[in-house]
Amino acid sequence: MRDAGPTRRAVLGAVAAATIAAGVVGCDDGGGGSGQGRRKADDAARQRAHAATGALLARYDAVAARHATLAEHIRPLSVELRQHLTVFAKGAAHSAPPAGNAPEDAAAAGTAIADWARQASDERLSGLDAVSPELARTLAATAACLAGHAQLLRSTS
Amino acid sequence: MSTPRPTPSGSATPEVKALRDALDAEHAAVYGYGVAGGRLTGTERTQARSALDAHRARRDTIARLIGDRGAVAQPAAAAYTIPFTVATPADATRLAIHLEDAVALHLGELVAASGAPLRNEAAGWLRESAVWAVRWRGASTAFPGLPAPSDPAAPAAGSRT
Repeated sequence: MRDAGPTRRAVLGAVAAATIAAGVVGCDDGGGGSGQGRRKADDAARQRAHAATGALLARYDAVAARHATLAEHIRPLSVELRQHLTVFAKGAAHSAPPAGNAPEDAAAAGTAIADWARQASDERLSGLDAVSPELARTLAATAACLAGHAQLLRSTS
Repeated sequence: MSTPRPTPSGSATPEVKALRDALDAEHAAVYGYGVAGGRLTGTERTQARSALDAHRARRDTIARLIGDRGAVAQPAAAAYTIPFTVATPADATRLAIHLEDAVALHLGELVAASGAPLRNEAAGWLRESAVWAVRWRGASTAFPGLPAPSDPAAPAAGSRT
């Protein structure tokens, strides 16, 4: 961190935004204080995603158990949520997910489950900037998967 | 789930390189949807038209972002290689899935390579692409935008049509 004077300023001026962004990404490998901050952010994000996935899976299971007509559509989606759980399991606290409950009416349950999936997708994308590049990509991939679930569930309900 | 990171092209920042790769994928998608749309009818043709519009808009956005970073947005090639013959509506659907998977893979790379605020925007684009893929495929995939575990270089396999 020594002052390189005008040369450094000129370089910063020339490539402003892209360089700053690349610097943010580069922090990941630093191993210094900021690297540790990134690791903490990663652990927290993984833990959040793990808990949210468990809760959503419990809701899928509850709807599938209550509505046989929806169950066959939900089953492959639950398999994908279990894959997400596996990916986020590293370093996550394994608390039992809350028991899911399902609306009595099948159409309402279909709509509700699509809304839950979409909401989980939105939440997955918050705080993406704080985490390391590969975790950000994985979080974005699972958010995309959940948006796909919402799309499928809406088109079948 | 390690991703090999080929970074051959000179002095571009990782973010600009990822933007240019995503632009290539969008150029190919615009071309490919033109081909696919010609083999579809009815609601599927309308859907292909909407997807084409979406990819055109994103192509323009990405080109602008590349320019904003002082780099040159490459134009589209005159033609792109379609990896199989597109003769039937089923072929066209398969092509649409292939295009969305390829775009999603590059957008996933862009998410990894970019910082705020582009990362969030790229994640939103990845989500849109995944939803298009679901519409064409009629089924979901667990990790859109991540390379398939068996073949790190390939987009997620779209075998089910």
